Amino acid sequence: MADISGLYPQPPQPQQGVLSDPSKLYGFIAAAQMAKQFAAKQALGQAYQKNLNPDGTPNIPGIAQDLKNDPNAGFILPEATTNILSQHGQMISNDTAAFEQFAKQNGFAQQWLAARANQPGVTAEDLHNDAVTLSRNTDPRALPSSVINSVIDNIKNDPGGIHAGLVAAQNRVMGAAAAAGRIAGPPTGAGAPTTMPLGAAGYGTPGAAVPGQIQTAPPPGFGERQAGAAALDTKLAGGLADAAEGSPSRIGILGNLDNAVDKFTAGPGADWSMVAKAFVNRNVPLPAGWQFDPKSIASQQEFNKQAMQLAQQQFQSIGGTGTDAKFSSAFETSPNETLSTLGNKGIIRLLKGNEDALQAKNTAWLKMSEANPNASYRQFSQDFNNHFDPRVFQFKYLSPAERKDYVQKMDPQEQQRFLYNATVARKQGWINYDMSK
Amino acid sequence: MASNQNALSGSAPRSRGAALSGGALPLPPPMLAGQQVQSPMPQQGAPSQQGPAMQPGQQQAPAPTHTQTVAALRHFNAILGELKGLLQNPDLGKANLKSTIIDGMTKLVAERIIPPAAAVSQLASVPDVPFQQKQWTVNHYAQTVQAAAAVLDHHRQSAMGTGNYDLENALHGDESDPDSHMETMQGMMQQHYAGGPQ
Repeated sequence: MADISGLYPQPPQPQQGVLSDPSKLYGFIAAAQMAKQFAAKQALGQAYQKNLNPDGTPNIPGIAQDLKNDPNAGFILPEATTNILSQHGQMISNDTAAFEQFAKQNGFAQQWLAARANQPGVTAEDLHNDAVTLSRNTDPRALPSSVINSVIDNIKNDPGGIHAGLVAAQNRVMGAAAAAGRIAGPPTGAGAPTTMPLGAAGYGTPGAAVPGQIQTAPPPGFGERQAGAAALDTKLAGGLADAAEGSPSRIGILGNLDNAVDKFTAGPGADWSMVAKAFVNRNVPLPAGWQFDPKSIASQQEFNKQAMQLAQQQFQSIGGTGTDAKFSSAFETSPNETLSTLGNKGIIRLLKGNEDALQAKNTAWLKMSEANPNASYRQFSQDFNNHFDPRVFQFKYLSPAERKDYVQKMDPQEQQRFLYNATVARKQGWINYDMSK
Repeated sequence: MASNQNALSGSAPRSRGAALSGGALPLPPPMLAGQQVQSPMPQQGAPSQQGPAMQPGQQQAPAPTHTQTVAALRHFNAILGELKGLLQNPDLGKANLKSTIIDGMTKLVAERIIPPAAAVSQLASVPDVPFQQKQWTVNHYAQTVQAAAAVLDHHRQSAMGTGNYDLENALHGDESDPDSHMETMQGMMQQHYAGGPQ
């Protein structure tokens, strides 16, 4: 059978040519792109060529205008116009450097920077005024208007603010060597003098009433306050030293009192009973065994004498000046024969603990003042007293049973505080006895 | 000084200098032209294409006063601030930023830098195509930088300083008044850049 397929129209056969081979197609696209790019770059180059300033710098608006009118430039125009801000930034940077060179030799520019850098609250409006003033007072060939505007722009946009911008400009004009020179700086908190680089001076003392002002002397009244504080410190530290000086003697008296109080019957009426006993022994003929024990009378007399001495010493250590009321107060809080034996013993223990505390405080202060001769006594005393607990010192003179009883009678919070203070005292070396026994 | 001829100094100051030396009326700085011709923003194109035509032998207009020059710098700086913000917008050239431009113009009107009528007129010139908006912004930025230098140049052409900063500050330090910005600008345009001396 004859093949009739030849009678039917045949589908068109692909033509052999550029579009038949995809690789060729891509090649043509790439070639077209390259051609466009070449033409665009050529247009850009021509635009630059036509718009070069005499010194070789490009005239950007002219270039932009030429590129706008040249259809070939369209292919790369976005890239060509993206960097105007960076160009302006570079221009400001160049102009600022140029201004610094100019200002190093120009008195008017130096006057301007010095005046503005030391003035508080300079505003953008002030700087606009300065730009106009600078333009009037300088040679345009040495300081073109565009440079003036760049310098003002740079100062206004300083990240630290206008004042920092002015100081930075002043420092750059001054030069690194001059800026590194040392001048008197703000005093330390204790009033000691300091120095600082001249370049840093323009930024001022932080928190100064006038921005940019360096306070080289302590504020008014500072010296007087310091002198007063030092005198007070000396007086208080002297008082502690005096009290500590008499402490061993008082501890001795307290020991004697502790012994003597056991040898007679202390309590209300003990004073007249001692007189009566002595009278009876002296005037009433009694058998020897019936007489009152002369040692008891002697112990009571000794106790009274020592109690009086202790009261006098305590009176002095609290700054007594001899008035009866103060002495009476010291005497009544000291052991005396009118108190019971138990009461006297309790007071004696408390007073012994106080003396230990006094000596511990004096030792701590001596240690600190030797390490730091400028240390403040009041500061030391405040720190010491934060953890100072007289009970920790008094605790030493209690028997184990009394200690146990003493602690058990405290509420839990009080117990915790007492133990904390005792631990601190132990760590600081204020006490060295074993509290657990 | 090399920096005298910098990238953004453009050709206008040079042509202005030439014009001034020839005794011609100086060109209005492009941004200042807006005060007079309802265009607060510089017109597109080279600065030399704007303003009244200069005729050889035409009498030179008097230079702006200290106050007027300060007002001009204030004016240009406010506009540059807005343009800078626009140039830093990553969408510039990619999306239609007309509303952002309107916002910026509104801000300038609110700050009494430009009159409302001039803002409306200027907004009409903003293209709708993103890339053209970018071109518009770049051109305006460059021209504003040039104009700021040009007005300062014009002032210093005829004004003589005392050479003493403290004295200068005492004489002119408190002359300028931002509250009367638009009036000062209008006065400057009328006297120096639009219709010649009045």
